[in-house]
Amino acid sequence: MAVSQKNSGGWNTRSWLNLRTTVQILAFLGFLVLFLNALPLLMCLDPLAMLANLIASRSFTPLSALALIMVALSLVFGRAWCGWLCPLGTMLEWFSFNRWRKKQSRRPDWWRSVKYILLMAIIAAAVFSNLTLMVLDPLTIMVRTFALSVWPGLDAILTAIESALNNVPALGDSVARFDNAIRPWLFPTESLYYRDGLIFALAFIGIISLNLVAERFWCRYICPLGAFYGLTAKISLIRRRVDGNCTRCKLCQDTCPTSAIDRKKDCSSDPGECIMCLKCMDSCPCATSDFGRALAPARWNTYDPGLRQALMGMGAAAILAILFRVTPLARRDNTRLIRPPGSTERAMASRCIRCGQCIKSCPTAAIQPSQAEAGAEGLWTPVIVPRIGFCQYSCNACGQACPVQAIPPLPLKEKRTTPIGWAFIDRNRCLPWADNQPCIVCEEMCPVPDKAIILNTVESENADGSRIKLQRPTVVKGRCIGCGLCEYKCPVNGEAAIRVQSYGYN
Amino acid sequence: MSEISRRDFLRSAVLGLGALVAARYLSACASPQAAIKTPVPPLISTTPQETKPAATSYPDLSVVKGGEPEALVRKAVELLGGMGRFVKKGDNVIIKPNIGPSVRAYEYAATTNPWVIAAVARLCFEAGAGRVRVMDKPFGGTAEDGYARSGIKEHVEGAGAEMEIMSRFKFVATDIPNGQDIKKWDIYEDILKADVLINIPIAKQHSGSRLTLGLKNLMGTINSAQMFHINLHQRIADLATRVRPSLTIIDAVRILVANGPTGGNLKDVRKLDTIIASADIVAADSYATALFGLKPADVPHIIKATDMGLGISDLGRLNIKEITLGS
Repeated sequence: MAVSQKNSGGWNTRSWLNLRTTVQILAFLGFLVLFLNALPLLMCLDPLAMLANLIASRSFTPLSALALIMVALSLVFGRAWCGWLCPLGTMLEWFSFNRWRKKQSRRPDWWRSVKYILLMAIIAAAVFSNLTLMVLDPLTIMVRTFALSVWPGLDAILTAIESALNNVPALGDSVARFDNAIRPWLFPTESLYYRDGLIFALAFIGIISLNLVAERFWCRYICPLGAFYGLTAKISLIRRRVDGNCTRCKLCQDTCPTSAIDRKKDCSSDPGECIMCLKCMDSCPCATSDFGRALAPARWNTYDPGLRQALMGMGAAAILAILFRVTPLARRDNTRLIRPPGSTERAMASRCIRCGQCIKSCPTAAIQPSQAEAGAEGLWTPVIVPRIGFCQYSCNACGQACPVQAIPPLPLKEKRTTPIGWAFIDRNRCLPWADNQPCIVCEEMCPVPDKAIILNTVESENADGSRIKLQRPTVVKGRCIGCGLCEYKCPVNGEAAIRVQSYGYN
Repeated sequence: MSEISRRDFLRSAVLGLGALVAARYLSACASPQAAIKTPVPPLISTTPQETKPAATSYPDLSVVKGGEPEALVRKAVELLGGMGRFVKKGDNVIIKPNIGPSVRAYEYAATTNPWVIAAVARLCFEAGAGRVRVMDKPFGGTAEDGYARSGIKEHVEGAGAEMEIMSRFKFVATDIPNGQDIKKWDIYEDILKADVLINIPIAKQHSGSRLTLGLKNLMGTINSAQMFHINLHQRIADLATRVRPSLTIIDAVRILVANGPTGGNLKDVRKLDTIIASADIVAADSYATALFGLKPADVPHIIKATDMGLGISDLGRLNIKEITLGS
């Protein structure tokens, strides 16, 4: 059975389009569920991420085999992922700005090469054990943006509304009940803060705004995952077909969100660009196009990857890989490069696909996207920033959330004894050391059973010569696991007087 | 590009300004500025003799040893005259246990014993309480995690009471007129508004406050606890002038003698099977210092609270009823 306008088995064009909308909504909700629970399954459905990780890490993660399901689906349905399932694609469709853009304008076809070059560059860089460019994968963009901007933003809005309603006398009680019953399912009970939320939000708005230049600009020209499916779609089983009755009226070409249809080529479409949205079928006045079986591989176009694109991709990857090796970080580690428990720099470089699920999974927002700590090569890999959030003693969520074992899934018992850094007291800032003021917060908070911070009672001299007895903290190196609760809680304003530093042993 | 008309310009200007004002209004509502208008309780401690001349037969303090937690609690409250003395029909009751560190199970004596809390909740319901909520502000992790891991959620809900996660928008800047060091702090408004507040600390060693008992446990009702640690002892006493539990029940079923308040070593735990109860928070704390071989004078905030007239720390002046179950 082919998908066509003909009313076959009670299914007409409308029903197919409704089905697609339904699937898109369900897939988006599915994305939200996987995102909210930080389930590794989400990224395992991304064949590009799994392939790049396989090449870069030279090791096989069993769950990544699930990506083969998506590959198989694309061998049947082409780039249906982009038009039916991809949460970013769905958002680009919901914010298509069709009304604000001038009529479907064709842009230079060679722009389509960009996504293939990026795909080649990702694969080539993976050979050098580098995965930096995975920041361009649509699923990692979605998770990162939602974890760092969208969700904290929604949380702030909800909190503002709750606070406002709480001041209305009759509503206070129901607001509190809502806050206790509903919030824990969706939002953290304490506000979490993330670095660069604004930047990620702006980047996302930028991607969506490209729709003003051309519909689904991202999917057409940039998306490396789209490029991956574009290649499999070339030999996909089900494609758009046009029969001889076509009058070249060009309506389908104007409707196609990726401009995959070319009137000059008998209004046929390139399956590597077609996202199977079925809108052309709806627009066709003569019912001349349908979606059905096609066996021969699709025609190769000028913009499709050839030797030139492959060389450009590999050249870009090689230049990147070399540039990454001449940064100062190659000589000296950043002391603030504190990784989630159990992960090493090596594992992080060759495994982390920048999906950000660990950031979402962390209940205390200890895990943040790296800025300069890991250099340009390690951009947006997870680092722990204790001043923003501490590593919770009774939590091992990040290891469970990581789909590629860049953070190993440590059992809680083992995680509790795995140091991620060492705390150092800054005696020039610490209240009892620098200012003769009593303060024991770091010792009080230390969650290690035999406290890693001890207090020594000493007598000290004040500025006016009077003497005072007070307790001064000292870190016991062998006991400290670097969780950073002391740094987080240190009452000294601004930079803490006790700070966690990385081992520098990687 | 078309020229912008005056009408369009005005319309967008009004819309934009309206949005700004609305945003300003929302964020203004969001900042907890409205100070709580509940009456400030009298400074002088309401020991039984003062409030109820007819009930002088009740002891100031009850201590019960040797038995299961529920039996200990029931006996200790019964000796004070029963829960009906504190909880009236339909009362809105809040129980404030110590669920300080969110990372420990109850065996480590870092959090109040779940059976003790559940027993108090049941007593409240038996006295006719309309609503009983249990809450604290754990540190070192999320409240959900702390409530579950300590075992408290399970037992409290089993007793029919609610575990409330303290909502961040309910910490309201509150005047502390009788405070000596602090005159204002963010305090959880429901705790101030409750008809009855029952304080159930667990007795623990604590490097900063020496011991953490009833007075120190009140720190779980405020925000910005780190900043509170400067001049800690005076501030604990100041807070106790504003947050006034009707009843303090010290859980000494297990106590933590070292590495407090977080614990984590069973070797630091002593099982005493003891419950101390009193309407006088200072008296309860003072008696509990003996569990650690200390005197009230060893814990500065107990002395400061006594000096401020918040209760009696001189054990010799107290009418103490001490019994051991099954003997």
